[in-house]
Amino acid sequence: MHILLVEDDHDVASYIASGLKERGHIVEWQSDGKEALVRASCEVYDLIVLDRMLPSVDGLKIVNVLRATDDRTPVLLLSALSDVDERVKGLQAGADDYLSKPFAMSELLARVEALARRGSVSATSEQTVLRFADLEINLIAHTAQRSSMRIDLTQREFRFLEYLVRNAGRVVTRSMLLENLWDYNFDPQTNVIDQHVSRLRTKLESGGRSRLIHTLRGVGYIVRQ
Amino acid sequence: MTGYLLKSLSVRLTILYAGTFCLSVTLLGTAYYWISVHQPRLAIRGLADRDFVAMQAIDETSGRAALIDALRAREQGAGGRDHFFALVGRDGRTIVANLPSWPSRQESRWLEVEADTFVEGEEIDHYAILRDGTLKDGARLLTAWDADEVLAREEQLRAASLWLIGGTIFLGICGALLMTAAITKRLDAINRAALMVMDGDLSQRVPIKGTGDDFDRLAGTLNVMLSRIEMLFEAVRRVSDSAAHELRTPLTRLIGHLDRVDLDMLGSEPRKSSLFAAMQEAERLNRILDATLRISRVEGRRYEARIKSVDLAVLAEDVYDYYRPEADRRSIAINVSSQGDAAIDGDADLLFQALSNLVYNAIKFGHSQGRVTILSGTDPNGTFLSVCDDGPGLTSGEADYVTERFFRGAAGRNAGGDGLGLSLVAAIADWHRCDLEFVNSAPGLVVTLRWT
Repeated sequence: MHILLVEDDHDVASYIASGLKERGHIVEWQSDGKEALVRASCEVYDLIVLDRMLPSVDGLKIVNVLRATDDRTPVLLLSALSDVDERVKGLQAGADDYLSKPFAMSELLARVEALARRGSVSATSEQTVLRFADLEINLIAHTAQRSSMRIDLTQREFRFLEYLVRNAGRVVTRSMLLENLWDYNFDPQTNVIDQHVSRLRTKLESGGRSRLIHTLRGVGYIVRQ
Repeated sequence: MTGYLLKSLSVRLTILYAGTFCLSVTLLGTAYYWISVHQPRLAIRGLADRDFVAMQAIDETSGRAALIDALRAREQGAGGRDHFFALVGRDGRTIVANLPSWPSRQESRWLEVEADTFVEGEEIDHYAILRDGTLKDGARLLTAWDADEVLAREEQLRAASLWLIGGTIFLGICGALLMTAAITKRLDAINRAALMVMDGDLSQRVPIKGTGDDFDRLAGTLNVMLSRIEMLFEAVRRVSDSAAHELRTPLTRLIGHLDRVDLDMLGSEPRKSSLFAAMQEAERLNRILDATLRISRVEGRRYEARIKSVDLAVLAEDVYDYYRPEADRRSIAINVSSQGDAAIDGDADLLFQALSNLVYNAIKFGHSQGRVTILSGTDPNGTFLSVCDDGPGLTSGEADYVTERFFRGAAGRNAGGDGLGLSLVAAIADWHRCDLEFVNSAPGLVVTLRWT
């Protein structure tokens, strides 16, 4: 992917850039907001990783300008302002995701990949049935089955599974699950998410069926065979 | 109610002003009456008394005939219309008189009577002050002086006094209300500014009228004080914000470095475990930093909330939904129930956070196989949201400190946690202007958010 990274702190920028490059992305780094805006409007990027607080222009302003010119390039906002209201402000400005500093590289990479996918799969979001291996999820009837055996799920568990399967093959972090499955922006303080996953897993894997949701220690979860 | 009214400065001022005003007018009126009516009346009494004493002396020294002559001479003399007399014998027959009428029997020493005179057939109204006395032999002598002017003035004053009293009270109350309103207006302005400062808007100032009066001076002093407080707050905020930022940068790097360690190079499982433990500690540091900053933002009302109607029953269901797997793991049953409608205006994210912290505490401190109840509703005391557990509750000493940052009670020290959960709940409760109550229910603890 061709990624524009806008970050004024050299250390943080090189940390992010090296992480992204290791994953095979092409990274172009800009430390100045105005310059970044110029680059973003004349070049086509797959994704923009944008720091919220820049010396010349506010990151939110940049998102505003991009969206005003109908530029739909996915934007991941990075910010040291971690509070919920700041996150809401960032998303309202038109950013696609918001990640507060400090963050683990794995978290950033997971989000970058989720955003990149969001851009490419929007056409298939009208699907009514999601399939992965022997798992089948009917989005209309709100039912799930494995090898034609129906799995009883609560509303929340269904959404949980849907989200994981939509991101099959990609890392999903705890905070991504939290942000996408609860309508509230809050600080969970605990690893309650792990309990949700283990419950879901129990239901999916009962009767000796193979593991679908895998734990990536210190990172999150991934759905794979 | 009476106690409250008397405590209110405006009521006290109104009463004081109206009272002083009425008292002043009463004193002035009395003085005028004294000078213009009472004193002249005394002077006229003096004249009538002087006549009586003189005539009595004549009667005693020169006999009755001389008295009758003297009385007749007075009647003929100059100023005959100013003074009057009557001499009545012991048998009740009039001996000599120029008074048109008088009481048939002696009633009191002093009388005020009509003493009309006729000049060429025309009646002239007169009022006189009359000295009624008895001579040595029992005959009755009445001497009187014309008091027309004085008595007429008294009559006028009497008639006017009704209007005067009414007018005085009316003006007194009006003046008092106007004055009190002026003072109350200034006090209210100060009060409003102070309340807004209490609400967290430290930039509020007391308005200054520019007249340089006492209130302007008070407002000026308060404003200097507020500026100073704002400056100090700002300084504290800057220090804590920059401390947080200064801590964030090394923390970002620390997490970055830990993140870049190649797991495959570590080899043995204990090494990997150490790495994950280090990572978890770094994340915990980050969480503490976030929570501290968040509490001070909510406390300082710098958090930009999105106010909307929040149904507490729905919120309770969502929190239950979130914690159910964790509660199941600890074999704790969560029971959600509602008593009537419980909608309030608030920030759903903050309220979810508060309830989430309370429920998490209840699960953490509750007994295994125990029960946690989330109750929402409205009762005569207002709308409430409460979380009830069957844990150890709070000791009496702890209740006062549980909402302080980093405080952990006897039970909390063993259960882990950073001691910030309830501080955030308290800040959120304060933000929503609702009460936060902790009540031991033996066994267990009931924590209630209440909107009154």
